[in-house]
Amino acid sequence: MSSSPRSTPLALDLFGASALGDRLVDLVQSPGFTLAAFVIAFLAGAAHAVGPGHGKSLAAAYLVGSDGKVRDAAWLGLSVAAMHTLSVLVIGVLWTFFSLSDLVRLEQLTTALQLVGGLLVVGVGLWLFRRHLRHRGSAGGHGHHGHGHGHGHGHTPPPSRPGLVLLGMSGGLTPSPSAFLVLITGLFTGRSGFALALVIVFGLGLASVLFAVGLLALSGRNVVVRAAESRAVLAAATRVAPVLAAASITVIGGTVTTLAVRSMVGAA
Amino acid sequence: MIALHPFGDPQTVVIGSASDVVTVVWRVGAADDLTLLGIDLGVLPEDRVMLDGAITYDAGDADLVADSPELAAYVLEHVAVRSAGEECTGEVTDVGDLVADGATLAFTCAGPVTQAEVEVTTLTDLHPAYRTLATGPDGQRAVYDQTGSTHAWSFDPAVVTAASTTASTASPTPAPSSAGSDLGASAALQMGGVGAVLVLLAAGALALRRRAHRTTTPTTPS
Repeated sequence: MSSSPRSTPLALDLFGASALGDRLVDLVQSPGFTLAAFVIAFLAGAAHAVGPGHGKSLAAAYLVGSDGKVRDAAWLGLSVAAMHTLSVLVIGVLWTFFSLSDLVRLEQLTTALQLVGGLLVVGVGLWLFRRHLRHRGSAGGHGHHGHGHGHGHGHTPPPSRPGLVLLGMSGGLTPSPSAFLVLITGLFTGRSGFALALVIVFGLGLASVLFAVGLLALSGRNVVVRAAESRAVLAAATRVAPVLAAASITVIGGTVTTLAVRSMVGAA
Repeated sequence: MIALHPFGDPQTVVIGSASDVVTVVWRVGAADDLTLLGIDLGVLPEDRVMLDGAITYDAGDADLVADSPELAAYVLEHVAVRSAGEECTGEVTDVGDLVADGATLAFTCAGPVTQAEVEVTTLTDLHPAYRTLATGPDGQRAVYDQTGSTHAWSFDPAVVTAASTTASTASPTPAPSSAGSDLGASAALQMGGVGAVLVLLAAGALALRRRAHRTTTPTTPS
């Protein structure tokens, strides 16, 4: 034995995500269906989303860059939740009943999903660029106006549902380890319905953080709009925002894709 | 960018039997779990774990751990089989790639085995949150964790169905939750139920929204 006081084997546990996840897996096995389990599932999902990844910066960039509304932030959050639940469900069922691990290691599968997610994001970023350029072309260089009133039709194209949903999907494509463990523990112990309900609530926890980040980004943009003293500054800001958003989304997507490819090459 | 806790296969055991021998194939799960075990056994250096808890591994690490006598001793110490109240004698018969193929243990019991209690405590000594997902003959399944480290397994198909119906009765060693076909059917039923509730909720929300929209539209001021 190498050392007497063992170092904790789990990686740095930001915001207690792992501890909450462990507690959740315990609850799947303990008898009874407790309300507390759902509260913990929601918190575990939120804690997981606060960690790196899950497209928080993407959500912010997209909403700021495309004149998003509160409803768009909600769409984004919900598509992350839906995709995450579907992903955990499909992989969990395949792993338990169809010997998925004989075909592909879960690490490899995750990397492949990251690659798909990265490419999706690059696609959305490039499409945003194209849309912006087209829109400017069709607007004929028409000047921009302020954004004090409710309906913001005009200069910046409004966010499109497919774009939002695709970004959300890329954020929920890779399952979180604890949600996956919750589902397979449920499948192994005959409590799959309860486990699936917990995974759904976990996804809603994830969604709530993305929604909150989206709202923060939107209110931040409104502050900028109100604080802009001259029309020229505002015009410049509203002109640059979509380009910056499209650029950062493309760059983030490119980074995720590159990392996925690198770890694929490294593993091969 | 380092993944906080990489997503990988969980630790598994596959339990089988032939006459008086119970076989247990143990797979470690993800590669980082193998590294942690290697460090704990003293086979790998401690600097594999970085300050932030992230784990690095070299290409040869898996072989180092798999080939070490410490590993064989470890699995024999953490897996035990009892049949008819008597301890069965274990030996490690094969050690392959611990992630893909696992280590195979054979436990020779006093007579032909129709039922056995199998105890698995691997990796829970490193961290209490580790669990082992176990599959047995005829689709029997169970989850081993720190509080439930022993399960009873049946190797007689007639008994498997009986055990699955009496699994809920309190016994000192819980039987696996259910036979495979039952488990699959029950999962389909339960998860289908959750899906149906979800569809109903979504339909209800949509209907409510439409109604609210219809009643507010004519009175909305310009």
